[in-house]
Amino acid sequence: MEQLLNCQSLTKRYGYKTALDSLNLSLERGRIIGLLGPNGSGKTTLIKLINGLLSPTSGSITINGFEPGPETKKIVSYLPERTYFNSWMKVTDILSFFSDFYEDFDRNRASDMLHRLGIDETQHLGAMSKGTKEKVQLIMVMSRDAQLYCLDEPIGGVDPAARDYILQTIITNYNENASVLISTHLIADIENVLDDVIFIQDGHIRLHASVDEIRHQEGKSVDALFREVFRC
Amino acid sequence: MLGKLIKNEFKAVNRLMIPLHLGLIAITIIGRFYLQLTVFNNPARSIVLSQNVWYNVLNVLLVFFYVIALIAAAMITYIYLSILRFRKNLFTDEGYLMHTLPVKASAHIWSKLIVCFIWETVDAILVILSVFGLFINGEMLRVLPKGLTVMFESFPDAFGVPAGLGIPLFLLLLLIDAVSGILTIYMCIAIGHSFNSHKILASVGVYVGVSMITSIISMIFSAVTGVFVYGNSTLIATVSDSTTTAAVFWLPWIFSTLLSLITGIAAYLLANYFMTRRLNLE
Repeated sequence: MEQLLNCQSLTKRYGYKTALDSLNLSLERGRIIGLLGPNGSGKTTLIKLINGLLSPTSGSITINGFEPGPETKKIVSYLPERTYFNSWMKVTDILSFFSDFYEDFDRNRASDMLHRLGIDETQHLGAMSKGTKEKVQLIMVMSRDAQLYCLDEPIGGVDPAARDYILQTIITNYNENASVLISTHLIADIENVLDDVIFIQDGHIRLHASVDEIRHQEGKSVDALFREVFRC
Repeated sequence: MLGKLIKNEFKAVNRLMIPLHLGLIAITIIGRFYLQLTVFNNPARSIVLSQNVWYNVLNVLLVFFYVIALIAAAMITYIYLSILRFRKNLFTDEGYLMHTLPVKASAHIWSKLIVCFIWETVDAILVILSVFGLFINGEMLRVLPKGLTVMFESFPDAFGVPAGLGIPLFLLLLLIDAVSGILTIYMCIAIGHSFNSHKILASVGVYVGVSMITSIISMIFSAVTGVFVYGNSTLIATVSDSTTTAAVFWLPWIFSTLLSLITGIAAYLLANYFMTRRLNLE
């Protein structure tokens, strides 16, 4: 089967600033991958390139063999680091919106999760706290049967209890053909669910290894290794 | 997918457009009642009243308010739909959702264009109806057919073609120009937002540049033919001999239509390219 994600000397520059510097990366299916790195290391840039919100300066990026476009957007589910819903929308409006545009959206699954987290579907987004909005957005994104989930800082703004539930959801919701790419600084919180980690720094990949390898070879947790590698 | 985009676009813009135009209708109805009660129903009394300075001041203020309201409704419709909505929905935070939908950039452009065009047409019709609805009375209705006949008959003298041909062709030009104008704004926003910073400034800059180029082309055309063409409409300023020839209509019409068509198509292709290949969301 085609590799899920393939980047070949992928470069992205903003003016004189290089965000990604000829990055080579491929991702397998059926993995939960942590994309870890300090602020400004290129995590968000990489995720935006995967989702076609940015175009590469040079190099190529393919998902399932396709360049980012309508074909790949059908199979990639993206959670940006910001809220993109209008405050006038109700949760039900958003549910209809996702059902309209994504064939793989499972409305019942979304309703179940909203119910579990005590979110009222008739509520306007404007009336919700920032954390609740983030929960709604994550629920929408995870209610798709996508092949690649890109979650940019998914747990930053929610309380630890909801965090556990969300991580549980991420693990249980995806199937063996799908992979989840999670970008975060909160390594300790998600370490247990990760299969692989990618350390990224200044637009370069420092390390791409499985969590088991790290534990065996380095004899330490991903969190400890991260602190060591990126020591300031 | 285009249908769903249009549906959602209407849902979003109707929240502003419907109240705005209901307000326009309400102002017209209230104004009509006021005129009906003070002027139309009782001409004798209105002459007496018109001696009163406060009554006149009040009327001037009301007319002023009404005209401002009409202009505001049209301006809000135009600015909101063709500039603000396009930019906010596709190039700010909302763009993160819109551009990750499995649809082509061209579908986004078409959905925005269609909804924008429909609302701008509705707005133009309502503004015209409002003016008519406010001032029309039996007397006007009686002289209107005669006035129109005179207008139609003198049309060839002024424009060189019969009204039955000239008016539809002019309306067609208006339509092409309206669509082309919206697409040009889309293109400017799409190009401007491919910059890494100063995106709005860049969009405005592109717009100024495009306007300058089209007006230079128009100026060259007028210099060559002696017929004046202004970006949006054709105005025959000077006619050298006393009999108006059809060329005075056709020349600028063909020129304006071609210019609008070319700008519109180029704007569409560029907007599509920049939204597909050069998207640069912050």
